[in-house]
Amino acid sequence: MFCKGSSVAKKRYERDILRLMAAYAVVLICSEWFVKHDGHEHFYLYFWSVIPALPILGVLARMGRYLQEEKDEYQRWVVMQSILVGAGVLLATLVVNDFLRVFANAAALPPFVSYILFCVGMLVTQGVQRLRNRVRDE
Amino acid sequence: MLCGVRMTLAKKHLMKRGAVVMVGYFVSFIGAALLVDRIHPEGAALWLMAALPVLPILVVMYLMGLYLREETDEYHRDLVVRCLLWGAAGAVATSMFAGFLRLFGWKGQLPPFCEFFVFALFMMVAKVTYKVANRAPAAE
Repeated sequence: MFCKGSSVAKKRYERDILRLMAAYAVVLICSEWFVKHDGHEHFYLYFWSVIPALPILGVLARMGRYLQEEKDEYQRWVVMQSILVGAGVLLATLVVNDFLRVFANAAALPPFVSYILFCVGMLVTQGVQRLRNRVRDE
Repeated sequence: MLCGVRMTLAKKHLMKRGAVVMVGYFVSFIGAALLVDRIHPEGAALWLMAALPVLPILVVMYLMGLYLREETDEYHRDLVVRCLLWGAAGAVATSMFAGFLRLFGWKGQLPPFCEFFVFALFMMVAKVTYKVANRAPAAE
């Protein structure tokens, strides 16, 4: 259902996302290794904490480029809606957590939660929209 | 330069409704903070207080969805989504950076609402940058 009838732009986008996620896994493992072995100094700690966020920024930038490249109006609309819902879920969770931190000294969210929530919000919205689309692919 | 740009009808609707919701946000924000300060709720009541100021944010997202549907100008629609994407990128990157710092041994925490402000800042910077980069005059 999700893979049928992908446009050229979407195929390129999916391929690039896979590459970026592979880069993310490599960078993450390298960062952990370096911090464990050689990076307890302040500068290295900041450096190795910034590096894993870069492929994630790359994923979001690639998403923006996909929107530019995609010619199919419906596909663009699905992605736009899913970005909106993903951002809504992300912000809602961050703000609830921030209020709990202010009101009750709760802990901050673990490292991957924000990105995972954004992705889950997007994926669920895309799934729902595709299920609601009853028009068959050409 | 930015104010001289002609606003579409859909954008005017978004600005008008958005301003009302943002007033609601500040009222619920201050109201929740005052209530927590006075009655010191715990458990579910505390979660409810924390969730209260989030409702206007979700309404803003809903209004943006309405705007995307109403907006007929393709460029404006793209601009909003791209700015949203930059905002999300900023918030996710900040949250991940702080998370990794903690994972790697940092004992501190970012100040509350830091990611939220980064989200808003990235959106604003992206909007200004795209507007400056768009040199074509606004269509009649």
